[in-house]
Amino acid sequence: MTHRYRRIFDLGLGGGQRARAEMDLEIEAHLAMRTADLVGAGWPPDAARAEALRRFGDFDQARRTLHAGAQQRERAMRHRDWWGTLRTDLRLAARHARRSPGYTTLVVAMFAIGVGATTGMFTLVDAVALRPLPFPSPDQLIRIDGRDSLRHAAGVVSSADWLDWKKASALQVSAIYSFSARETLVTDDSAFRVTAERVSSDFFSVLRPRFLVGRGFADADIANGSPEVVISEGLWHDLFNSDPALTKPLRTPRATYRVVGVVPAEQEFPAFTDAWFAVPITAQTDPARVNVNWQLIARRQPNATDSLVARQIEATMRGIRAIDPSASYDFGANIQPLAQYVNGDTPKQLELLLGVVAFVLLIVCANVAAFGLARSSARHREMAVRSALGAGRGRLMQQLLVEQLSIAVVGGVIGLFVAWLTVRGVLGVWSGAVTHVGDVRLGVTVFVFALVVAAAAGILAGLLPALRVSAPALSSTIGSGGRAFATGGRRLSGATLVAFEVALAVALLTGSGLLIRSFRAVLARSLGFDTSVATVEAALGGPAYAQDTVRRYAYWDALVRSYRAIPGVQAVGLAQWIPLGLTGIGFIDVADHPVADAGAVYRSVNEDFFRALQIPLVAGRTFSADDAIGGERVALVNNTMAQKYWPGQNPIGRLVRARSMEKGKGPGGEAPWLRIIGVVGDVRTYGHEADVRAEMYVFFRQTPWLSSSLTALVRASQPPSRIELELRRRALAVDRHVAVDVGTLEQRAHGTLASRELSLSLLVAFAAVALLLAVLGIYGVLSYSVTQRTRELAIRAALGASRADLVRLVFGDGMRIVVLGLICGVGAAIALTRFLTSMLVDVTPLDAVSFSGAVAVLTITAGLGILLPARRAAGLDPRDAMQTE
Amino acid sequence: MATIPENVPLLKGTLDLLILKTLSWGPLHGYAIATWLDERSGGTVGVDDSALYQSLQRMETRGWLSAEWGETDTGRRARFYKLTTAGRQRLRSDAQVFERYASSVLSILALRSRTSRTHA
Repeated sequence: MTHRYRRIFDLGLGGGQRARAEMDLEIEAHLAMRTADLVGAGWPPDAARAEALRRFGDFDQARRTLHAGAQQRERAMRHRDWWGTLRTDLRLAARHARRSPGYTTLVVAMFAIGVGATTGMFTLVDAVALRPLPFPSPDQLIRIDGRDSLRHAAGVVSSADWLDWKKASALQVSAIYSFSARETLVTDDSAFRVTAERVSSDFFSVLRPRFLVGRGFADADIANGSPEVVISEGLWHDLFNSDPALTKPLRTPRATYRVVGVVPAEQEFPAFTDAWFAVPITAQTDPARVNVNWQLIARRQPNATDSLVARQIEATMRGIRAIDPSASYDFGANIQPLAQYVNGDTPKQLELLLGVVAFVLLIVCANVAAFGLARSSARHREMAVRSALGAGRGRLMQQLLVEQLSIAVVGGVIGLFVAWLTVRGVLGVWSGAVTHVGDVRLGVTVFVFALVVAAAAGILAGLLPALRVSAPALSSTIGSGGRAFATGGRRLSGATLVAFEVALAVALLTGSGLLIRSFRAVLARSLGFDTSVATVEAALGGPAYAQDTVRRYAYWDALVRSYRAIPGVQAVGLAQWIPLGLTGIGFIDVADHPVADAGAVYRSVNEDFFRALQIPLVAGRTFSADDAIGGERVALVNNTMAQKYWPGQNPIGRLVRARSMEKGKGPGGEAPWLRIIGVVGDVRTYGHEADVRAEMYVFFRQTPWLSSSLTALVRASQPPSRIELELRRRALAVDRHVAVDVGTLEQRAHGTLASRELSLSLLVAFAAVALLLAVLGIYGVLSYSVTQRTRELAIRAALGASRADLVRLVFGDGMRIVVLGLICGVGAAIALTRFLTSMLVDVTPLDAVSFSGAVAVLTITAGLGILLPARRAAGLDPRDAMQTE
Repeated sequence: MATIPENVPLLKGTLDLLILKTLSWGPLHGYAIATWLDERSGGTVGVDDSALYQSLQRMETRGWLSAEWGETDTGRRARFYKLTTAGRQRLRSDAQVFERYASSVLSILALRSRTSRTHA
């Protein structure tokens, strides 16, 4: 039931004015009829009129009231009209969709992909980049790094420096913490390893987590040397069965700690830490400012700025430097928000990908719009008829927009599923890199976002066809059966849009090409060692081993012997610090010639380490059983170190010492001199992405102080994962109180590539979608064009045009679009690829191969998209074609 | 028509109900509704013309009535009102409510006159 009423008095007035005028007419009609009746009953005309007015009561007052009422009614009517037409439009849209199911499905699918991918990436950006750290006043949390004499920001400080820096008045509180390490925990019947952190007593005063049970450390207790520990929710659950009383202590092989608090899972910092051991730190703890073994976090005063903190700390540094020239930092302090440190590059990568999916969404819109334009020629008749029946231009536009919007919204709802898939997929690969993964949810915000994006896309895609179709001058269309629009300048409706799509696709393809080439470059880099090795980390603690070097070596000898006995095992290496794991780096001194600020990676290994990792010996010899603890200290260096410190010379026989790593291990409290006996190949200690460092190796039998925590590297003929269980079993057989972590180097190597692999696969996937959409756009637009031009093409054929001529005609049309798009796309790519710079390896942002590759891929696929309609045009039979319509 | 009889004041909502009822026989313009009510009630239901049109506006706004300009039998242009489906439903339910209301009022009035008789 519609409430639309036909207005026979169109006074050319606005809604409110017209309502009032109409009311006056109605009142006047009433008065006239009443007066006429009264006159008929014998009243004199004047008196009759006066009586009619009197029946209205106070006439002027009544008229004003009725005017107001009429205006109100008018508004309500318009509102109801609007809903009525919307319902009609939705019905028309549904009917239209039913009539061409293939087209509708295609468009819905395109919207679903565009909206879904955008929403999925938005969800991730929202969860990872936009959400603050889960601590109170997270904007006050910062990380402070000193900048050393090489002007490098070093993520480490010495405890002595921290004691001075913490006095800065711009800081509320600051704390230092060690680098995460594995710690053995013992229970009555077993031992196992967890990730642990040594922290200063103010650590939790900086973060202020919400303790599930208990509290943080009390400064006084820690200063008194009371052993206290805070544990994670997970460890509390596993070890103490979530007992809120916290009565049981936590035991390591060395000591027993009182558990004072439990941190909830989402507030673990650093992520995945299980236990935080408090360490009393005083000026006596480690007065040497070169011993930079700590990381620093702080909470600044609410009104202080980062630069104020930096200025205060720099002033302190200058003071320290004046009295202690050995202090490491003399080029100021780097202050960065803790959130930035925690999230690293992830937000930047996500934002880049969000930009990329926005491109895909734009292509979807352009494609739908182009299809809409192409189809608009077919719908001109329908529109012309509706227009002739009284529908205004606005009305027709509304109908078309509603049609497009409803399709977009349906696509958007399906897109939520695509979004969910995107998020799942990304998290599956990225779980190691994103710290608070658990918080990523598809909530109400995301739902609203998807709907808004879908609506915006629908309007964007629908506006152009709506404007075109509803354009005036329709009368001729009805008579000409729609042909008028199939010829002339508009025959390639949507050409510009398709060119735009091609441009976007080229930009994305170029970006993908750059990342693919970077990935290949990274993979082509040799790690310098073979990763098909099983790793067994073990730590010897407890009174049985603590003071007994002989027992420690006995354990390692027994372990190596046991592993060698496994059939198929070829070599068993041992090392304190392995590649792709934690690494020790220290300052070194080179005999004969002083080198300022010389440093090297330092590793203590056994004689089979190089064979287990297949690191080649370049010159000299490796360690042997003759290099005993009492004999001359010996060392190996890698190629890079040899070339760096002894360029053009033979390093064998030279002397070097690890100043910071072996401080106090030689005569007079100095680091002992080591004689270089060989040179080995380079390794990329930090994985594929990193550069090669100068490295030195010492023999583990000569470094008894480093013999309590080693990693065994087992090379076997069978895959490492197949022997993991056996390795664990044999380790426990040697000593069941020693806990071990068993893994493979391959896992670690893959971890360093995961984030690059993910960015790459997502970008390539999106670029492929973009390419597909662009080609689909070209195909669609040309197909429609050929259909619309059937008569024209047939006439050409009848007048003697050959098949080749017709193919050339259509092909030329298509290629003009593609070339235009290519030119714009290459321009866009030149402007945009620099945003990828941080992810490129051995490739410049203007890499010619990537650019020409993108152009070639697009030209070929687009050519295929053009060829099909072109062939169809050539296959037209003039007689049939003339008879259609 | 020299004298107009003393009017019974209309209870709130009753005018709407009367108009709906009037229109249930077919579309009418405002003046026709006024005269129709006048004649049916024998002049006892006094309807102010202004109140009549306000009531029409109110019910049209609510979608109970729709209106169209048309011609009267005397060739005059007037706005004709007719019931919508919603208006028809409204008439049915309001009439029931009114009947229940009126019958309970009447029963109370009857009760009062009995008690006053025993008093007397």
